[in-house]
Amino acid sequence: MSAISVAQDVLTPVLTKRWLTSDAWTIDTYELLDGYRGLRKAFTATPDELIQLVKDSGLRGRGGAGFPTGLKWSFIPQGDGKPHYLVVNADEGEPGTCKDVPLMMADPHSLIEGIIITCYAIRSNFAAIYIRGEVVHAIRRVQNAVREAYAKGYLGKNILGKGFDLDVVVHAGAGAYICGEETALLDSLEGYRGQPRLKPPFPATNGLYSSPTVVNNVETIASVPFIVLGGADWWKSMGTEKSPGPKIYSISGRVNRPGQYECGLGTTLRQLIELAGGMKEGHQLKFWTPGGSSTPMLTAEHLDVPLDFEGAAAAGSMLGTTAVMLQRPGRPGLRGLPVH
Amino acid sequence: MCGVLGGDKAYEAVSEHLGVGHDETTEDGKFTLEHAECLAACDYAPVMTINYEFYDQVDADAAVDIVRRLQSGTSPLPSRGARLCTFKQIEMQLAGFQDDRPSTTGEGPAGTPTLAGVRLADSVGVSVPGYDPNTPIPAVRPKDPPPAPAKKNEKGAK
Repeated sequence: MSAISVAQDVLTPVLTKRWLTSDAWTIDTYELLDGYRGLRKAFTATPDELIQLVKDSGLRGRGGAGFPTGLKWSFIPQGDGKPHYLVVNADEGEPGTCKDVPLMMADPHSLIEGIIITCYAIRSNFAAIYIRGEVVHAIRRVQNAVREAYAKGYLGKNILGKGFDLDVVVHAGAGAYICGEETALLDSLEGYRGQPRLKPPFPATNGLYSSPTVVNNVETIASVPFIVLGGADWWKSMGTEKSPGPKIYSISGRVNRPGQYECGLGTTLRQLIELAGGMKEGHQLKFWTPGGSSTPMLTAEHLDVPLDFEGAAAAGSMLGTTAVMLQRPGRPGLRGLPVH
Repeated sequence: MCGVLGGDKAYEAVSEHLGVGHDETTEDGKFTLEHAECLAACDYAPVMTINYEFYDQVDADAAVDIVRRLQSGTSPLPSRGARLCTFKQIEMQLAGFQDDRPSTTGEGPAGTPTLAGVRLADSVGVSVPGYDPNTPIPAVRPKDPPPAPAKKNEKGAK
């Protein structure tokens, strides 16, 4: 098994493809690379058709829980006379997770475009992007993208002359891990101390300002323009039957080339290690987590577990955010983290 | 991940160099040290931040060197994004005000870990087949009943 053959088998550059273009974060370059083409196409369909398309694609939430995205959108009651909201969870804070920050840095307009399409589908005229405050560099890029989108008529009143209005606000978090939980995030966004709410009611009916709200992860929303352009069948040509599509795996720890590797869901750790240039010399894999530090640890026994929502669960862990952290046997072995 | 890959050593070295611990400020009031829990940069681990700007892949020596340069009055260039600014300026940005310095969004290309996968894909000529941006969006007939209400098994995204 060589790195090249593994790369050809499992890599699926979709969301990460524009990252190669160093100024793809500017709107002019983004537009040259199919940018906002998905939005124009989405406006030719009805909101219900877009919800059905995302349902058909099998897209599942990339924030860790894996809830079907189209189903979540369809829970928003329509014709209820209340404002609807989209909140993008960019409070990337689960240790090990580091995919949304590079996405917002390298391709922020894919997030903005996904937001506009999503809001059109769920009939929302206001979206908030809640970004963790520690990553000011990413906040600046997203704020810049929002400004550019307003200037070009992709945001604001009567977008592209289609009679659809949308305002987007970028909000910086204040450093609380718990605000990555969606209801704590909503409280924080409303100006309260971020603490999880009791559920039910769910955000779909009582979310931001007690109105119907969709909360989705950055990677989920950034996937939407690609599904609109390529179609549900194309999306399902990647990944596995129950967990379709590409996924950004974040590999960190004792490998030669840590980083972001976008592969079809269901890729195994053995393949990921191969992509990442193998384990560092002199290091053996002792244990690893498939999706952030809150997912139960796996060992070298699980090298061939397919890393999709079902495979990780069957192995007794969780897919989480596909933040794959590899640890070696060490002097401390397991160590405690200082708690302040 | 930072801690395991040498971040704790870097923290200790900086702590020793400055003579302060977590959440403490030096006597001259210029440096406040904080032991961060996680900065969402595991692929660049270990990282340190100064006024919220990132310095990627630092070890103990590099971390102390960056602090020394600050003490000598120079402004070490962060690994991503803008040059260092004052803490007050960063606070304004976090409060939602636009950074008024020119080209603060433009500086710094994406680092090697960010591009590791897509560069590999590019080098072996991988692209996802079957992509046609003109694929039609299937029509859906308008539904009579309203969409189903939220089900009890909806889970929160985390």
